Amino acid sequence: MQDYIERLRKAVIDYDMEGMTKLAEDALAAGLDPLKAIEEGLALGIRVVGDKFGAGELFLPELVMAAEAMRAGVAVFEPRIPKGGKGRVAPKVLLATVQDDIHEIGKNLVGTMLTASGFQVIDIGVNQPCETILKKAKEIDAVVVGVSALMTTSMPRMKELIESAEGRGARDVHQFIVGGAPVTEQYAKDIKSDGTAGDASGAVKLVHGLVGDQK
Amino acid sequence: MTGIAIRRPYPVLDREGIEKIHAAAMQGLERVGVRIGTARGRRLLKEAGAHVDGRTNVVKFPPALIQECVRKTAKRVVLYGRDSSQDADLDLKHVHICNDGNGAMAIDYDTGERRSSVADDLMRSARVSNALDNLHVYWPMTTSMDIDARIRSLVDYKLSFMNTDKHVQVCTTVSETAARELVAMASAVVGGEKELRRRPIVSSVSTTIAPLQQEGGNIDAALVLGEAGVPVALFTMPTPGASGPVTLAGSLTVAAMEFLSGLAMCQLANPGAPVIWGNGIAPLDMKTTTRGGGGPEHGLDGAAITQLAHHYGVPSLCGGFDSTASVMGTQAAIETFASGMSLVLGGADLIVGIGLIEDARTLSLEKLVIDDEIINMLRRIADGIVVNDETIALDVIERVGAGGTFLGQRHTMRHLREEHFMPKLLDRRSYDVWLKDGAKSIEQRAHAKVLEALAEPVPHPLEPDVVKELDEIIHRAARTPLAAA
Repeated sequence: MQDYIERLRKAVIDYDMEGMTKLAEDALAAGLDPLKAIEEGLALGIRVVGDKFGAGELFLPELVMAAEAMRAGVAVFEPRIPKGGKGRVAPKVLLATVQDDIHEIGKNLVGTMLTASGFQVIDIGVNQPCETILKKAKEIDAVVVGVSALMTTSMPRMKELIESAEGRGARDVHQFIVGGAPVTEQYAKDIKSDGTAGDASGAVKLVHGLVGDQK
Repeated sequence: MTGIAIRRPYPVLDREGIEKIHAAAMQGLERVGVRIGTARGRRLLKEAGAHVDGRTNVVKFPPALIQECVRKTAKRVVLYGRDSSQDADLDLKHVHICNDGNGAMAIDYDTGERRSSVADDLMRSARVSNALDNLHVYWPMTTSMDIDARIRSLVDYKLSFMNTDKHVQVCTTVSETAARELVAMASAVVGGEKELRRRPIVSSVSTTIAPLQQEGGNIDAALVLGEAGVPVALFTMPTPGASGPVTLAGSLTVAAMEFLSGLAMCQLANPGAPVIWGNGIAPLDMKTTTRGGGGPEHGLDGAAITQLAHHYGVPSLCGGFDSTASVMGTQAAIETFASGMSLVLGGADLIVGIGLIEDARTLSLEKLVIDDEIINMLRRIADGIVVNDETIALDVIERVGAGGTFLGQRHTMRHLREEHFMPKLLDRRSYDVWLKDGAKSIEQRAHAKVLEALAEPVPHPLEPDVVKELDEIIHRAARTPLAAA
């Protein structure tokens, strides 16, 4: 079993996006615990790549490819984790681009880097109404909800989201962070969000801080 | 082998321009002539058929003599390092970078104080140079003002050999004696004059006095060095508007006359001797009376000199990456980029000038590090855009399709490092991340790199008995007055 864990970790470190699905299925067939496969195999592999990225040894494409490899593995293992039992311990972060906006490069970078820092990232994509975002956040029990907007015209949706969360008592359940080129620290404060960051590595620091706060 | 490959040089002069300047220089040499300050040089030229005016020492050159001397000159100049990994082959296809030299002032790297330069500054400049990505040839960056003037340049050579394994180029051989002392010291390092001739680890720069004068000592030294197989750069630097016509084409013509007259003496004395054409044409600032080394003209005319030099089959040495700013900062960066850009794009064989401010007067170790980053950027510009099926990547575009991302494609990883300039010193982080990390300026980050570089050991240090031999040469020189030597 330890051999499979080692190979899963290595497959992430080697960006083996193509070979991951088969390796994960083989590991399951050999009786590897799916939760252990994710936590001790894939997640540790992505941390190695994330650390090298942080140290400037690797660049974004490598990080994204490692995250892709991990995603392929998680897609095999996650449905096989027994329901009702102990789940993954990594905190969940929900990401979305607000309604009326289809820009997502920045959000995707934040997602990749949060994944590489050990978070479980659930990304529901672009053009998402407040209703959908809050519903999903509740469903998955997200610790942090991050929304992005690239245009000043779609920015008011962020304020709407936080007001809507307050209205239904969800404001204190999740932490809300906002981001995107037009978003400033002042705006983030004005709409009573839990913060913003100027780039993806700043977002990782922000989320670490918020999750730490919660403990 | 070192150097930056130049895929497609960006020409400043067209074919017709090169030929016009060449023709004008040949006519000028025949009609106006050049004052030759050395008796040995005049004698060589007279024997070869030139007309020497015994009263003014002005020599007029028949075109055939110049053409014959151009034919004789070495077609390949290699600036050998103490270690062969540092060899700079001036093959007319690569750009090489050299630091600026002989500054009499230094910004103290520890206190930030501007003061007279000392031997330790030179040592530190060599050690920081060793850590740079784009530094291929070393000039003693400062002159050791704390050392007695008689032996100052010899101590500078010794410290250079002791602290870098790169080729050492100097500009202090101003007499026959000085040239012999350089040859003696370099021979001691490589194990004899024969070995020095095979792999000359030093070269020297002889400056002409514009307009149209060859200084005696400099040329006498050049002839001694040529005999020893040491390459010589004939450095021409008419100041447009003062010691040359204000038009760059006119100053280029004066420079060509000076270079060709010097080349003729070098080839008559030592046929086939390696010669480089040096350029320092920078404007006189007509308001401040200072030299505008960081001006856009400096790089522009260096690129033109490179074309003219290649026309004669010789490599160029161009002053560039200069700044007249009094402190390291925005002005210095702008001037450095402007004077360096034309030269890198123009394929100059050796660009001399990183690391000093105040127009080659004051050492800034931080500027060395910052200039190295500027060169990394210029390398990317000079590299251009390669177009083929692999780089067009239509198959990848098809695989990713509308709305997808290229970030996770192996194609991206494969080409990233050659297609993207990767900053080592520039900070592209967002404001908040930069602020939380101490809000450091580029000078502060460069300073940190200086400290890192100074902590590294010297590659291929000299053997103690070689150092002893160098010290003996210096001691002997100290006992001999230069005039009597």
